[in-house]
This record gives sequence, structure tokens and C-alpha cells, in this order.
Amino acid sequence: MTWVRRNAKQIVLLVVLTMLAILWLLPILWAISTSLKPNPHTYRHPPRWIPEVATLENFREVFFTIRTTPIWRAYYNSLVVSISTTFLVLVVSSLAAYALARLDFPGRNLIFAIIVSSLLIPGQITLIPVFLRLHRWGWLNTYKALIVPALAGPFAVFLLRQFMLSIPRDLEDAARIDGCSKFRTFYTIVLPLIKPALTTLAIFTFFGSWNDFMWPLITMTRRNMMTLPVALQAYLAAFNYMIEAGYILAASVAATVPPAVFFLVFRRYIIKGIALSGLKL
Amino acid sequence: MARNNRRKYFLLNEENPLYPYLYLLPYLTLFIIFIALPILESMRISMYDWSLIGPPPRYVGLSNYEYIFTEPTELFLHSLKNTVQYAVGAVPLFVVGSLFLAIAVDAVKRWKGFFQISFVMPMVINVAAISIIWIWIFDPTTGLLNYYAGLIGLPPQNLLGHEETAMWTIVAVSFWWGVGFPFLVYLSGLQDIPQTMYDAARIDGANAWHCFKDITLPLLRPTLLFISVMQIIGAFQVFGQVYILTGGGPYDSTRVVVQHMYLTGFQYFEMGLAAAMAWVLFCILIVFTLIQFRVFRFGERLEY
Repeated sequence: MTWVRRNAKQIVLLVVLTMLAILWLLPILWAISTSLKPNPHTYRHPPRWIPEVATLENFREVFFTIRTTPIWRAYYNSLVVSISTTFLVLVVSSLAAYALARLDFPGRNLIFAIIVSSLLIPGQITLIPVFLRLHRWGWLNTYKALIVPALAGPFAVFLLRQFMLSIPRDLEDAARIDGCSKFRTFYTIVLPLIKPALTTLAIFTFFGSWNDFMWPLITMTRRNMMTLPVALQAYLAAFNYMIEAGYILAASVAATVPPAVFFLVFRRYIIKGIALSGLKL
Repeated sequence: MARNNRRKYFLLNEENPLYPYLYLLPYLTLFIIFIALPILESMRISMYDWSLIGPPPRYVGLSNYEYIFTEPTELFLHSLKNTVQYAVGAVPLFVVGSLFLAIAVDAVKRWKGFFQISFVMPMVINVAAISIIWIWIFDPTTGLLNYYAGLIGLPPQNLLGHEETAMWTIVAVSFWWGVGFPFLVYLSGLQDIPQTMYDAARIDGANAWHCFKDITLPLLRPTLLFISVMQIIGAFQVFGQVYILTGGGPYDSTRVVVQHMYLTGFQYFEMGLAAAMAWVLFCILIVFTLIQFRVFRFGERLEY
């Protein structure tokens, strides 16, 4: 009894948190359960958490469906776009950040001030002019439409520049005295030193691109070009929700499980990255 | 030959005054094409009757702005009101709810990792997948929720299909989906508060409430402000989950500003009106963005 009393607070906390955690996980588990059931079983009452008959038929259907974007294709589109965007954002932004943090040239403060003040402008402002421009250039329904405009985001440059300013200059000075060129200093000394910021930026850019919904909804109207979120949204229209729920849920689960596994594997980095994005710039 | 070489490498010569601009060139080009010029163009478009499918654009001054506030259906004002309703529900829930969650996970001694994973996990799922999962649960006839509600004697509910409940249901789903980010930021803020401060307070006879009020809250103030401003800005830009969960219905009761703008621009192709709406949204957001600037100290090293 004394043990219970001494640990009462911990026990209450554990019970409440466990109930909440279950509330957070059950919807995902229910979706997985539904996705494994043959369609006529999906809406049977009482609900069965463990399917009576488990089948991968739903997954086979959505991976190769001809009614709308096959999931494999949406995956491929999403991966191509997210990986290229992340890689190119890191390259383009770190180069610019290096110039703004470490090189001396006329107009540097003005350029930085302009880039920073553009952070005031919400994305909805540029949405229409950029759409019209890509429309004119014939870029709609191409990967470029999703990748290239995303490289212009000012936050990446800002984040990396601030991080570069916070690292000591001694190493770079030493490298210069040893005759290291500016580009080699950037590549072999500065980049490794700002690795935490690069990791954070990579995670945010990747998930930002992977989960982006509005921009691909506008620019990717052709079935075979849709990214996962847009394709999934189209599943609601392409399949009958009442009798084909298994297909729709299988598509969602297929889109959910790999990122979830990715998160579990790299959880330490992701959590650290998010914490870093708080106030510790 | 030698001269040729010198010319070839002229730009790559570090002594060249243009050398630093080489690093900036790729980004700056993209910035000008996709951010700077579009901002100016957006202002111009908002002053045009600019239909993508109709006659060529015609200058109309500020009448687009007048029109969206005075047109007879009042849909813009209505969606503004709905967005405010979403913000009123979501912002306190995110700011306070995730703080309590973080405090609880920080204090609990077992299964910390499991709790962290549970609350953060939905964040990595895309908005369409989470919306589909919840539509399936909320379904009035086949849904899990109504089945269990029925077991304890509650009448069946169509949460997403009723004007009184639809927006609050969207708020709840959004919280389930997005709690991970503020939760983690709070958690790292809490872990930065030295344990010795709490120990000292305990020796002086402070109880848990005093510790929370006099140590945790003041030291978390910057984090709280950061999360609040982030959430307000995010709430005014809500789109994806609304678009998929309800499509703005029933009877436009969940139509939000960004969705209204999306429909105006990309269903009715009225680019001028949509651009004007974006600028109205900007005017609302700028206040909070400026606060965010101060919190973030964006301009701090401007004069470096």
C-alpha cells in the first residue's frame, strides 16, 4: 500500500498517458486492420480488430489499379520529387548562406535583408503568379513544377546562415593560412560543422515536400503525375466508399507505413531536428 | 593559350570582386523568379479582372477587394468567419493541450519513448491518408465511432455532416495529426530547465502547482510564444484536412479562407479575385508574423 501511495502520481500519469497513447494509435491500427479485410467484411458489425479472413488483395488492387493513379506510381512520383527537392535545397541554400555569412561583397546586407523580409509573405501570395508562370512555360504536370519553385524558399538560407555565423571562425582561418581555397574551406570545413542544421533542414524539407498537398493538387492534374497525397484524395472519388472501403484504406495504409517505419528508425534525428527548430537557432 | 586560361578561370578567381556572387547566383535567380517577382505580380493581378478562360485581363483598380467583401453570397466573409472558428478551437488546444502532454511525458518515469512515438507518429502521415482514416472512423453508418457510441447508448452521430459539429471535428482531427510538433518543442524546452531549480523550490516548501507557475511557465515563456504564433499562422492557412474531410460542407459551414481562394482561382479561374483574397489573408497574418519575427529574432544579426 505504501508503495502505491508513494508512486500514486506516477501510476496516474502512466494510466492517463497509456489511454491517450492508445487513442493516438488505434486509428492507425484500425486502418491497417480494415485494409487487410476482403471488401464485404469491412463494414460488418460488430467491428473485428483482427480480420477473420486476412488478404493482401486490396493492396494488389491499389498498387496496380487502372481506375486512378496506381499507388506504385504515386510513390515513385513522391520519392522523385521529395528526394530531388531535399538534395537541391541543401546545395543551393548552403552555397548562398555561405556567401551571406562568410564572404564580403557590396550589397550583402541589403540582399540578406530582402531575403529575410520575404519570410513575411505567406505562400498563398505567390501561388497564383507562379502557377500562371509555370502554365506559360508548359511546366504543369512535370516534376520541375514541384521541385524548382520549392528551391527558392528563404527559410533554408536564413537557417543555414544563422547557423554558420554561430560556429567559430578559427578552423576556417587556419585552413586559409594553409592555403585552402574558399570553396574547399566551404566544402571540407564549414559543411561538416553545420551538419546538425543540414540534418534538420533535410528532414523538414523532405517531409514538407512529401506531405505537400495544395501545390501538387493545383499543378499535377494528370493521373500519372500525381504525388501520394493528391492520388489518395482522388481515390475517394474513384472508388465507392461504401463497398470498396478496403481499397481506399489499403491505399492510405500503403502511404502511411513506410514513412512511419522511417520515423521509427531515424526517430532520434527527427526529434532532435524538431527540437532544434524551436528556439535554439 | 595562357590568356585563354586566365579568362576561363577569371570568374573562379577568389580575388575577383564578382566571386562571392557565384555562390549566390543559383539561389538568387530562383528567388527572383519564384518569390520576388511573383510578389509584385500578385499585387498587379489582384487589381485586374483576370480570368484564365475568359477575355484578356482588364485593369479594375481596387474593385476586386471591394467585391470580395460586398458580393451578395458573402462567401469570403463567411469563410473568414469559419477560419476564425477553426483558430478559436485549434490554437488553445494546440498551445495548452500539447503543453500538458509534454509535461506529463516529461514527468513520467517509464515508457517515455513509447509515449513520444505515439504522439509524434501521426505527424509523418500525409494529410490525405489521415483524413481518409478518420472519415472511415466517423462514417455515420459503418464507422467505428458510432458503433461504440451505440454500445453505451448514444444515438448515432454524423459528426462531419452536421453544421454544429463539423468544424470542431476537424479541429480534433487536426490536433491528433499535428500535436507532435509543439509537443516535441515543449518537451525539449522542459528538458532545458535545470532539475536543481525544482529541487531548490521543493526544499523551500513549494508544491507542484507553485513549481509549475513560478518555474516552468516563466522559463517556457519564449517557447509558449513561439508555439502560439506558429499555431495562429498555421490555423489561418488551414486547407488540406478541411478540403478532404468535408470539402467545406455541410452548407459551407467549414469553408475556410484558403479553400475559398483555391476554388475561386482554380475552379472558377478568377485569378484577380483569388489574388486579392491572398492579400487580405496577408494583412491578417502580418501582425502575427511580425511577432514571430521578434520571437525568432529574424533581424538580429542584420547589421553583422
